[in-house]
Amino acid sequence: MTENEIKIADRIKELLSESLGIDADVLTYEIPLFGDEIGLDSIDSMEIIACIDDEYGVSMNGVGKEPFYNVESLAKYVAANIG
Amino acid sequence: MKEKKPPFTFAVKFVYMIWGLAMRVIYPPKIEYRDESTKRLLKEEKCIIIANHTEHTDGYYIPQVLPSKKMYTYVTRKWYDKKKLNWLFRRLRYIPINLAEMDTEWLDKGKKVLDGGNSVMIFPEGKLSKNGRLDAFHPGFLMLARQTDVPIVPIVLLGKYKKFRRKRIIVGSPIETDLHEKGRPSVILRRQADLCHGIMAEMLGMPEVEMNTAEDMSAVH
Repeated sequence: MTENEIKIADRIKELLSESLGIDADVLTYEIPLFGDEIGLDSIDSMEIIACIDDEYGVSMNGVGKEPFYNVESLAKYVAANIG
Repeated sequence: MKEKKPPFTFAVKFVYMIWGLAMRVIYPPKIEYRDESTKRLLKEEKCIIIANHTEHTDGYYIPQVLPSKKMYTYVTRKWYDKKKLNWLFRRLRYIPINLAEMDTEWLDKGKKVLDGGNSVMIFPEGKLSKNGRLDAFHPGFLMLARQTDVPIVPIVLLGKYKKFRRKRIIVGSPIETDLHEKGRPSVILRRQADLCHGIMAEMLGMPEVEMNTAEDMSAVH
């Protein structure tokens, strides 16, 4: 990840910990968000979309599953689409 | 930019309005309000209306007969994308929702409808109930309510559609629930969806049934 992507990823980690109650220690850049360990589901993805929109003004509506894979993919998507 | 309406929209809406009048004659509605203030709420305020779903007719009967703000109805992609129906759905007040894949456009479209001061209706079971029981609810409507703070009004339809017999509709009081509770939405909203299910089961006069847990539900909303 680039320096900017890491900065975004760190903020996304904070947002996910706050809004979804995920233990910050468990939430690494690489851990799958929808895997067994974190165990998010589609309802949580809507909350992620709202958080990203509020924080960065980036709309993730209709983008498919890939950017939601982990914090790193979210950060890369935001970095690529931020205004 | 304002979205361009497909051709014949006005004509289709006109025919739909006539069809609505015919529906009122063929299946005259008998609407009972649990609380008279909900009548005013439906007419004057935007709402998220949730209803049980036992026949396809529900999807066009309720918007035609329930006095409310302009009502947009969610319909699953399975039906929305059928060629002839799609031609109609695109010209009327229907919003597609994909229950099989991750779809967030329905939420965005619902928010736009509510932002415009209109109401939405959703069948939280996500499908027709074939055995007359109230199946477990998908919690997506609660995410819409959480993000918009619009009241949720439950309605239930009782009995089958029989020509020239009154169709009974009970309108419940707005559901009071804390959707902003801290924690993981998938857990909180599924718990609240069970609460809404209990309220509608009671309105239908059904005993509380043991529901599928959130984890058991295969579809996503």
